[in-house]
Amino acid sequence: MSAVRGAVLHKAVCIAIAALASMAGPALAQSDHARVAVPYYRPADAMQGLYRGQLAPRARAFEQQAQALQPALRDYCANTQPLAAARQQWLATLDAWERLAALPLGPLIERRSLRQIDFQPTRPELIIKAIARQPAQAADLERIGTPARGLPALEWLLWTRPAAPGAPACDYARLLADDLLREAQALRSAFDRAAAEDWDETRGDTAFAEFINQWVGGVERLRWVQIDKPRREAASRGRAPAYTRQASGQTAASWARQWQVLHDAAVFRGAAAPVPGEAAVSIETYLRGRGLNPLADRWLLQLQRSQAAMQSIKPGPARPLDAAVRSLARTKALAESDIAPALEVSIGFSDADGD
Amino acid sequence: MTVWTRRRWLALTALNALPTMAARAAHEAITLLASWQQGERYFAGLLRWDGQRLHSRAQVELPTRAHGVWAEADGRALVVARRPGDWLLRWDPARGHCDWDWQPAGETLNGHMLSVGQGGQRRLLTTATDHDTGQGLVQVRDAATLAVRARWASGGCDPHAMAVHQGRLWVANGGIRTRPETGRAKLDLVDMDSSLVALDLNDERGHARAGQFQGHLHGQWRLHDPRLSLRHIAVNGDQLAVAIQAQHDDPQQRAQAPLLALFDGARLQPVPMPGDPSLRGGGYAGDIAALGRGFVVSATRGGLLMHWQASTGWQAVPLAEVSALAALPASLVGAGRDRLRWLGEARDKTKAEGEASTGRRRIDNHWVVTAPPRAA
Repeated sequence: MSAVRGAVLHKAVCIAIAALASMAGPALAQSDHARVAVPYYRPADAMQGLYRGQLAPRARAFEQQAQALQPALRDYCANTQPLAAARQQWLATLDAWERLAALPLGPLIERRSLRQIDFQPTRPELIIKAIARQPAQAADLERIGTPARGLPALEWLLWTRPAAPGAPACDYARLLADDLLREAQALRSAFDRAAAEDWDETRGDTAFAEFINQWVGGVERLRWVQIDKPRREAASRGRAPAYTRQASGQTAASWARQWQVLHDAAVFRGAAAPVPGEAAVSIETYLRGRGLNPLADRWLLQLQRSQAAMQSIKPGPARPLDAAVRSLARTKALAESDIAPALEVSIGFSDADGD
Repeated sequence: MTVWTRRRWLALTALNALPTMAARAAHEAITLLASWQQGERYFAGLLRWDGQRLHSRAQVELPTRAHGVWAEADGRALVVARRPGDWLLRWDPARGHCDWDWQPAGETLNGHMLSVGQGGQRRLLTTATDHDTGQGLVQVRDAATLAVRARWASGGCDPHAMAVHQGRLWVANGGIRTRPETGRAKLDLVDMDSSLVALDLNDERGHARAGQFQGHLHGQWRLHDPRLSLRHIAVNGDQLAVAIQAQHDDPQQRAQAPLLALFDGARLQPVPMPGDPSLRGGGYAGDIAALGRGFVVSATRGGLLMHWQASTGWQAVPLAEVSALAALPASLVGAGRDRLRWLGEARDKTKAEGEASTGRRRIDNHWVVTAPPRAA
């Protein structure tokens, strides 16, 4: 993965425009970018803004929801709350998790959090074996593989085969919730640390390249792994597709949530371009800050098409899903072929690359 | 973009007529099994080259980008997803029939396959990665059903291409750790550990017992520079060579890195690149094939088809973004960004140009010569 270059050349301009942006504040309307200059963002500005403005708050929100999941499961397993309450809190935890993990960056990669707490598809036979072993504490869980842990395993224990209060399965579900909270706490701590630090040029360049790469990867995971592959696999085996979050009925909501995160990272929303380093900068804004308006316009148009194609899709009729898959493929191709080179980011093992 | 100076052209053309082609090749049609990208869509198919144009004889759309292809004796084709891959396709071009094999969660395919054995003992081998351990695997598949019957440790991580040579299976462990759940980000390049591994296919008496291939580690070899990723293997008589992709942080170092390593039976050693900077390969060999008494590598980033023989050293011809190489008895055909090109042995001095457009297809890293599609 190559670093982003060129920041040094523009440093003086950057400082001047950043100062202007600071003075102008919210009046610096990006929607009027043809007349009002969009600040020049260094990669470090963009990444510091992303970590401070979005990732750290999302990690905190996930931790809060994971914290609330513990008592929800405890009360359900003690038979003092209905199953619906535990399910509701799992849904809230899932929502917070997907808003954080749809664009997996920094600590999420370093800790392998997606694998640790969101292994898909979960393996029911391994969950059943794990319950039989009656693990009692965190150390016992370490001997149980990730396919029997995390949010998907909890989904299975709350929807597919609901754990009865007082049963070993319920104890296991509580242990999984504890495990989830530990990961959430570690992520919150790591994102808070990253957001509080000063980002130098090297770190900013590396993180920005990771951001672009992971954005492309996030689109592909949504397009292929979550939407298209289950359909194709099912068709070739003559059975119904097995989508993620299907047991809880959250498949469509999950797709929409992940797409929203990716979309918001890609195009500008709001009234004013952010002050460098203080808030997240969309890819569109970043392009405009470098004077790449024709490319930013093409990017915006393609994202609008994908946004339209992703509207209201759900498991079921093929045609809207086909359209969404095609549109996401075009978006990904544009990101790889035009956006990444314009930002001087090389896509790791990209589609413009071989193996 | 490469600048073609007069000095460079002279350097190339002085290299003993490498831009020539086998005389017959321009007139005899061949069929190539390939995968390619067209717009944002991916295909595999049979492409016929009649000396003038490249035609699609049959094609199938793929869900994601493919990498390795394998032509089976009965006319069917095997296509494997690029890493981290989750599908393997057996396609019958004559009937248009597809059999898909889907990877279970926890393992991903690394893009290459190989057929070993004959008849009922035939097995299909695919390289893969175990997500839990990060370790490389060779999956041993039932050739009829594609079901995985056994798994061998590849002796490293990121196993890529394989070859059978002197009764053993040779595996190039690329040595780059990735995390499939977060895309294709390369991790921990400072800890890269690439190696060439030989696995015993047969038992200690040299016999394959009823399809029970062994997969025991026979030997393992590494280059001194740990940032050189060994990826593709070719065999030419008793010679075995490996194509390299450099992973240095420094672009200059990467651009000058060797593209080829030779195994002499005891040691694995890189072949020094030419001294002329314009003939360096950019540190990335996309494919390798045997030609003459040596090997050709596709220097994708250098835009060169580079032929090495012990007697002549390096010779090169330009081909922008060259990738796939397909070996023929006395020549090979390489695919570039938008052109394909023939390369004949040096003894053939014909001036006939072996070039054609690939249409709007961007051919992937590998293709093979195969038979035309049979009638359904």
